[in-house]
Amino acid sequence: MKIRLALVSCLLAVGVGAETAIKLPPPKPSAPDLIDGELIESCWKDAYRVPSLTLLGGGTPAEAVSVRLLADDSNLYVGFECYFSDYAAKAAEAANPPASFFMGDTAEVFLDLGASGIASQIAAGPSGRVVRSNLLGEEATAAVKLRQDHWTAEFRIPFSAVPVGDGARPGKLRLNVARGNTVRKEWSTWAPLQNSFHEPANFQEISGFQIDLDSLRKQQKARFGNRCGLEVPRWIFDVQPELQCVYSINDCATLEGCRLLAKLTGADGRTAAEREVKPVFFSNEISLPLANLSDGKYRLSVSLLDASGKTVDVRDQAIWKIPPKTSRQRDVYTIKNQCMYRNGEFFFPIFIWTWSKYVKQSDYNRDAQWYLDAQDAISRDIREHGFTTVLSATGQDFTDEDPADLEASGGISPWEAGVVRQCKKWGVKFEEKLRRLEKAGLNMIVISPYSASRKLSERNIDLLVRQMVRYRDYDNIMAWNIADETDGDVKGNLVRRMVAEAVDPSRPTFLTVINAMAENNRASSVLASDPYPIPNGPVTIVASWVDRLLAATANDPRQTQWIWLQHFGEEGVWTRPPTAAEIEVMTTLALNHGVKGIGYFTYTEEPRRKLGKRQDPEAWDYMRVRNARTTELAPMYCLGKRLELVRRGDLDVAVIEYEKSIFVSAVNVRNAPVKNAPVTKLVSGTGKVLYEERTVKTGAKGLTDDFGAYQSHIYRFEK
Amino acid sequence: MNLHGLSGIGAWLLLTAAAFGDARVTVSADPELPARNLLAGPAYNADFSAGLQNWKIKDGKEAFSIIDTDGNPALRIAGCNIAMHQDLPNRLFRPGRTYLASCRFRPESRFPFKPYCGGPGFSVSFFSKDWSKSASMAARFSRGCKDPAVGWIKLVGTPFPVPDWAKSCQMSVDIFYYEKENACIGLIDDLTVTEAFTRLSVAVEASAAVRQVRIYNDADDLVYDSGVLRDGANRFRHSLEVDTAHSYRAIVLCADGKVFKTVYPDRSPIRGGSAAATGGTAP
Repeated sequence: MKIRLALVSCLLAVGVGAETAIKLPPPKPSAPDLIDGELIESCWKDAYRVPSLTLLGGGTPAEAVSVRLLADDSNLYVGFECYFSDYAAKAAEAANPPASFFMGDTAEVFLDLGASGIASQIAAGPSGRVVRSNLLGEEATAAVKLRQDHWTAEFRIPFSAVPVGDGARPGKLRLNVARGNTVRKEWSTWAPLQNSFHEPANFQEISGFQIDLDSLRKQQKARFGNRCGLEVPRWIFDVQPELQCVYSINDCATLEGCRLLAKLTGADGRTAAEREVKPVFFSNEISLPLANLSDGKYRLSVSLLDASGKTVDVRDQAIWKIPPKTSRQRDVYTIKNQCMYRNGEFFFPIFIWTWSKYVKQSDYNRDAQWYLDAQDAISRDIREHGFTTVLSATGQDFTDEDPADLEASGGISPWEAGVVRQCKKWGVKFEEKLRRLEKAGLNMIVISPYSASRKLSERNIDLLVRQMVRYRDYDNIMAWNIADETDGDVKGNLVRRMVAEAVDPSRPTFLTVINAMAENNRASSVLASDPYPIPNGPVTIVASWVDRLLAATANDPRQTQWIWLQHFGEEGVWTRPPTAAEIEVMTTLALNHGVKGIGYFTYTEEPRRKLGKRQDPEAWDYMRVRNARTTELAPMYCLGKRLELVRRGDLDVAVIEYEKSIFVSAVNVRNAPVKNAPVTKLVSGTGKVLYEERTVKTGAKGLTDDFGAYQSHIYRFEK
Repeated sequence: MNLHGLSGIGAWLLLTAAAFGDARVTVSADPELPARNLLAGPAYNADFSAGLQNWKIKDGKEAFSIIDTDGNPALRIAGCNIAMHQDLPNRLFRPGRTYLASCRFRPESRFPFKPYCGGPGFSVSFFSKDWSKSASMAARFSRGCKDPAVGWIKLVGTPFPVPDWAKSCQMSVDIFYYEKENACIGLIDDLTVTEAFTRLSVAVEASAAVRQVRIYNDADDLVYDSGVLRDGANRFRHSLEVDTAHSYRAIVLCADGKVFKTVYPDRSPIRGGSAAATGGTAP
């Protein structure tokens, strides 16, 4: 069926907002015959004039923009006039455009054909460079001209080049035009957008279309359309001689005479490697040489060309060439048989978030020494309570990062950026904080905001790679925490792990998910989960959570499993923190069921802790005892052989053979005492009750004992 | 099995055969697709053709209504943390057999991304005699949507083996885990439970050498790839186990660059309820 655009006579809408649909006039007497950046054809005189562009979030740009629009049966035409105040600077930019296209001045057009929520984009800069995103082929074109006080951009966008998604709705076109004047830090837009140009739901609605989207979609699919894909398993390279990728086609009408052109382009626009592949199959393995590439960022593109040599599809992916890691840290952490080892010795991490000193604005008049001393006091407090490891904050610890980058990453809150700025003024370095932490006997799991951000953009990966290349040589980093509670972002989590392990192959990766353990069981070498039952759920969910975690990760001996236990209240449905007894029962359940590391969420500084709402002060004091026991018993729990793991009445019981002893770890999961409870029949004789200065004797019913509410007993019997 | 004959086939053979010039691509399944929907018919009213009949609503009756969508009744849910249910006879399911839940869902409001707990949809839960054990299968919308106008979305759960301790069974349609201030609105229709798997067979006979064969489901997931075939043969056969909630598209590349396709069955199993076999068609 033919694509139809109902042509509408010249109607000028004034003062439109996103709510008012706009009709675009057709080019009369004819469409621009040449897209050359000159808006001189007579049709432009009667074009729809966009009333004004305003800055993202509101305001008027200092450098004005004028935009005209036309549309015919098959094409959208857009003309920009982008004014500027400094010709010399603009001419220099045109002659030497910035390496990153969007760091310059750009005229941009966004279309969402069918209002499916997915936009296509074409942008041009004063240098004449054109960038397309989510457009089919290179039929959407643009050209520019530089003048004394403005530059013009002329676009022609065939609707056939705009992919029609499956969610597309007939008669709907959402459109926006924008200018990214990054040099002036002015991002102006026609549609009333708030934070980014990429908000298609808020684009301007264009009416008057009668496009048969189903037909268009079919045509696009028949022409390869959006049925192609590029899979690049590794994005970060150091010593690898080749890059490998697979270009796939999952639907097309024919592949007769087709060929693929794979190309690596450097930031300077020069081709670094190129390869032609013919014939083309549904799946095409392509390799490109990397050995002679200098370090830096490159763009891999694979184009599908039909028999006439026309490009019908282009896929691309950024890749990074970095120097290989050559340093070796004092402490090397490895995972073997699902346990962690430090320099070859078994290691059971007991970790806490967050270690970072909470800095209020009123503290900004203090000095670096105050900050470091306060941070040291926290480190001592944590260490004295038996912890081995802390997690960095997502942002405020990275004082050698640019606060603007941190904020733009979406991974930190504004107040954290304020702390970073203040620490910069004080001259506090991240590496110095790591050194002082080590002196306190603690190591760190680093969570970078660029990785933790839910927005795993190319820019964030760029920053992450840069940050990790710098940090990977530091001592006292135990692991890279790649994200937190990103359950649903399974693919993104795999990317995060791939990036982290490629940049630093000698450290574990750590990921916490709430529920989707099985789905994410390949996303990190340390997988954790965080059941927080107090006060609304049974403490026994800790046991079932650990069971699920272990089941989801049972098959990989180089993967280990940690659990977060609740040590907080005063947040959402968690109206109170756990008591010491609840901490005890949750910890014993986790150990009985086989975790290989325990975290407690969260650290609370003393003034707030004293109030008892965020954290129970008694429970915090109890951590000294609990963590000392955990450290002592962890080899038994982790390296011993479980002879029995059972729920017996109110008791959760693990019977573990370790070295020359049989250990029985039993905990009452009810908040009520139980008398003479049967524990196990797998032991006999007299056993020592650890930490209680007493012994027990087994009888006809095996081992029985009394338990207080939530109380645990650990028995040791000699074999 | 006469995989490329267009006549003389038994009723048990569901055949999709299409010749395109110089290749014939045939896809069939045993058991045939669309698979039988165990919830089909008025006894369960899983397509809401009888309104809300059979369904029990404990609280928030006003949250559930039936509306007409293109001549087809669908359930409209507006609210949060609400459910309606009906008991199902346990004999519908055979312990040890694996089943699959699926349905259609159309958001009519924004839905937050709910990767952890699932979103609106339907579930079938099984309980032991003493109610101490339970397990369920579900088809839920969890990916969230910012633009409610995405149209109908097919939801497919994960294959679920019915436990041998299952003694009673309940079907529920619900929206849970949403904040009250974010009341969500959506349409649900065509609740479907089928035996989870069938054996899909593809056969190709071409005049040129067959270079590659791929099979996709209607969610565009690749379920089979022969890889590049270099033996020069112009015949190809393969069978594999697939789930019954989808239709399947076989796409074949020959050495001369020509491409041949067949879709089987020609209508989405999600509209099921009928066990009638239909032939596949080529796009």
